[in-house]
Amino acid sequence: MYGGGNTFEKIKAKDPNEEDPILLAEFEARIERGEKIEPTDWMPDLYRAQLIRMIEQHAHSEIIGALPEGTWITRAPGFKRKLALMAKVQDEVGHAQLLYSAAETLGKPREAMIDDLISGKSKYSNIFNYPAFTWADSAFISWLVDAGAIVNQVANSRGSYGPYSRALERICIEESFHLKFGHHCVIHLATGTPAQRKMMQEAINRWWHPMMHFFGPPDKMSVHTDTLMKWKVKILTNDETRQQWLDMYVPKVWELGLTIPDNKLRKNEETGKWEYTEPDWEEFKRVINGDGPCNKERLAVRKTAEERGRWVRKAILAKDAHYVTPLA
Amino acid sequence: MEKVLDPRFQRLDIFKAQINGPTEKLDQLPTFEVFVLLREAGIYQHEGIVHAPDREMAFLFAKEQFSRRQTCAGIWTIETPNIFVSPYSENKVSIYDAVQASAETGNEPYKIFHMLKRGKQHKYAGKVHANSPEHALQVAKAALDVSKPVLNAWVARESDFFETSEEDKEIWNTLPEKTFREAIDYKGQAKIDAFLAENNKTS
Amino acid sequence: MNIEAIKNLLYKMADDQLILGHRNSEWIGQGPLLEEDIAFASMAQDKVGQSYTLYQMLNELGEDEPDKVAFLRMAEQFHNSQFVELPIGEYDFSLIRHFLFDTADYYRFDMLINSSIEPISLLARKLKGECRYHSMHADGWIKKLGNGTDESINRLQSALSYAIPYALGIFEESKMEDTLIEENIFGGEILLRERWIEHIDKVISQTQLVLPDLALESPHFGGRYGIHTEHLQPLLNEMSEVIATDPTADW
Repeated sequence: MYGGGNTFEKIKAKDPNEEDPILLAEFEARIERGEKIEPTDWMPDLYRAQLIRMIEQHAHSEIIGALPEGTWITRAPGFKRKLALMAKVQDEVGHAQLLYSAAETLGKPREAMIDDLISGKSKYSNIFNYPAFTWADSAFISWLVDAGAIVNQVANSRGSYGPYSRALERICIEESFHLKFGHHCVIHLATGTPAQRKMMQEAINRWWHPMMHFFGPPDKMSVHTDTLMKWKVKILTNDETRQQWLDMYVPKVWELGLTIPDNKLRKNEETGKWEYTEPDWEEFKRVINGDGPCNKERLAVRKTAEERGRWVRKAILAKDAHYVTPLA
Repeated sequence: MEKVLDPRFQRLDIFKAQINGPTEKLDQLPTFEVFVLLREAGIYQHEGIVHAPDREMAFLFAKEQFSRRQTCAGIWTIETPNIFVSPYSENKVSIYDAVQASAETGNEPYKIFHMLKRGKQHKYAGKVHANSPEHALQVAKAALDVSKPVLNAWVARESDFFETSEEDKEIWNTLPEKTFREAIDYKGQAKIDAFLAENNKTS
Repeated sequence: MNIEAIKNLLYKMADDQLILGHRNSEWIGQGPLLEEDIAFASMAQDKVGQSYTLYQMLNELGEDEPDKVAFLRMAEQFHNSQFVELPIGEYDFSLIRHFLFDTADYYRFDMLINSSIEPISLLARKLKGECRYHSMHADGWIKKLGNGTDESINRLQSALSYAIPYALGIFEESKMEDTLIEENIFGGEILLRERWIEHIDKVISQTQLVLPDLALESPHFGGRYGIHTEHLQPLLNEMSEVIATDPTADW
């Protein structure tokens, strides 16, 4: 699960103008023709660095994203929910594995990425720094956060890097289950008893603003992305993904008689665009930089898992083991 | 800071964890390439990698990472460095154009995988007997179907693979019944319709 | 056909699977290696899924619906062995339990293929492959860690020594044991235990671990008769926290 444009800081990489102009032209022509870039192809330094950062953050978002819903894994109500939530959270771990692998093909080993996550050097999607107070929060995440991630991932699967596209295609297929499962849970709560309905409404009220943050700052505030769009690293802008998601899901929330805590929210029929209250981007920055309600807990859980698992990994690591960059 | 809400972590002292992370040598396991056969009549296709200590454990991991949906009829795992990778060619140019076909085979069985389109997975193309990976490509040019341009080939000794045995294939028997992992299992429209009808009645 | 005996058998199996599946699901998202996290999560799902199927069979024999039976009984109404309700501990204990329990599970289903009760025999036949993978997975890990570092060998040895008396509790005979055997419903716990010992002994002998002398161990019995450790009721309270707020609601 991952939204867009979470990164503010500039990336350190060779300026594309300093790259070999012939190689760069061939590279760009390949992308222009709609062909994928494969790991052993020549690529500009900036392309590699951007992709590593993006795929790595996406992978971190999956592994950390397993935690808010995981809050309810031992408490899911009934067999069907229990089995589904176990499978759903497992998928998030599986997606992290797929994405770390895709990033590894660019030359950064998985352990190095996990170290960067734990040390706080590398970021993950902001939304997972919020707590899941009730079962309905977990339903919200399964349905609407995953829906946001799918909008983003379907777009990115059309991107230019072969291994990332392949991982995303697989992920999108698996996530269609998450979306349906999450919607199913929300439908049951929204059409259920007054207490269930209330629980669902409160979850929406809590998660609405983090969800608006999920897609990243508005395009007018974002760092320059022309090169990334041209290289098909980024396919849709933050505003485009946010608009797509609003268009697909706000009507479905309203259909269930639930309300959304933004009285400005409406679709402008003339422009075809959704209008909404601008979310607080200062809060977004604060949370990304570590000051959210659950940042410390999320990293502490990940650290604990790494620490408790270390003896296992050490015991199975042969002395002569030799790590090489995976193929694809 | 909020109270920890997950009962699993309330039971642990998570804020005590000290990680030596970057200062310690990376405990990075080797990687294994995973090829999956979706159904008996299909062909093996590369699906990704797993980190594992050996190819048997790689198989145990690959089984749940790459075949926990739909169906599966077999998995091959092989350590990454055991695969010989040909250069990539440009579209419409086959890597075999630069290979001299050889009718003379060798003693070692090799598996050959082809990529026919950038962005697509490598698929199993067949087995040849040869003396080296380079020789295997020469034999493959004569023995396998190379009529379409092959953009990249992987070659590896058959003996380096871990392959699912016939009797182990029953491990996938119940896979099609795990419908709780499938979108199709979650139909909610009837409940929405009933809810809307009820609301119309009351309003 | 002795319905009571069949129910007795199905209950202890279902309760074992549910409770251990629940316990093992606690590892999801915090396993020692991403790949293992995923594999362990699948096996936890298999277990909960198996228990669901068994409770459905019980439902057909006149028992309450699976969700009620699984989520709303009290600890003393559960027939699982005490082994499965113990907390997950560290990964050494969880793996040893997985090995000891799933070996028994594999042979139990293998024996049930010959059950005189057709639906049980059919189910056993169907689940055999699933259990085969669980056993392969467990054996693979025990061999790896049992021949790994000093730390991994010591950890596994302590976990094994601690777990064995509980594991022997799996084979506690219930009050319907004779009927189950006489009517060829199930070959019995004693026979199962023999096959289990043979397998675990074979695997452990390929490692640097030592299997304690089973004759000297006194098994932790009681689970089959509703006597449990202090750990089961809190587990059940947690598992039913949401559904118990309104058991009549549709979740």
